[in-house]
Amino acid sequence: MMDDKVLVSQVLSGDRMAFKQLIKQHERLVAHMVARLIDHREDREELCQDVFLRVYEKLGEFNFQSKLSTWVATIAYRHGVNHLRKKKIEISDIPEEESFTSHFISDESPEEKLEDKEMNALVLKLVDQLPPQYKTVLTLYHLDQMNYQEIENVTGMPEGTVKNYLFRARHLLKEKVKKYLGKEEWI
Amino acid sequence: MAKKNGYSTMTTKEEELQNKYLAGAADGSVDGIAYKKVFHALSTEPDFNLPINFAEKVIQQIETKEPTSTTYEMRWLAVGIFVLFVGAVAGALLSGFKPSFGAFKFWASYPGLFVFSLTFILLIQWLDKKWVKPRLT
Repeated sequence: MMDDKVLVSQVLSGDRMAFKQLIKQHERLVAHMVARLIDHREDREELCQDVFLRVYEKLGEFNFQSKLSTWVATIAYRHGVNHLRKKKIEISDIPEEESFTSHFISDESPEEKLEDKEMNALVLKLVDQLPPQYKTVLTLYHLDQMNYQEIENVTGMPEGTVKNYLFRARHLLKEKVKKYLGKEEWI
Repeated sequence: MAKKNGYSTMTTKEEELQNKYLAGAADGSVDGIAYKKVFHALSTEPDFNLPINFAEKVIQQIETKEPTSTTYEMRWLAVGIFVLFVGAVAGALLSGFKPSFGAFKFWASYPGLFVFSLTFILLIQWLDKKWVKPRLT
């Protein structure tokens, strides 16, 4: 993989092949974030394109204070959030602990809705119901292997908030999985 | 700080469990099994792939948005005409030039010649368009 500085300077000098390589290197990351944040499949590809067009426009302002991937992810996150705002989709703050589960995930038995679907599908369906910022930190941490500092740079959330979101989301999902497995009585 | 409902205690226990799993030391408890499934699902790729030619599509969009060389040339032409106009006005003002139609007053004595000239030029243009150009192509 080409060094970020070399790649950026080549793109800025007008090398289209270098930009193509930049896209190839980061399209998976952008697709992950957009897919997790945006429900409408038709909007996803267009949004990914917009992200890279923005990257191309703003690349001259990239100052190498972070990794290029972190910077690209930041643009993807902001684009995703702006898209949700335009569609008037609520971007909630941290909900009260007691109401968290009931607010975002219904207590309806998952078995009724999902029946024989695999556990992965169940968890991912639950993830889809989480607020966007929770989905983002889960995706960046678990799928794109970013550390807390990098997630802080991407989302602008303090590191403590990132940790808290990760912890609470996993805990909530774990409780739901336990319920689904019907193994509460094991304890 | 412990809360009345014991949430903090539970939080610490849950954090330990999550950290144990992240460190690869998960146990076989119900929570451990459930966390294993959650972590596995979270590292699963979303059901969305960009098309193979995605990068080409983006580059195509960039090329469409960027001004072409013809656009650049037209812009320079417009700038040139504007500068010429400003220069002419500035030159006229600085030199005290006053426009005069002296040479054109000649036409006033020969209106027939003026009409003939105009008709002749239009006729030549029409003949050129009607007979000459079609034979060249």
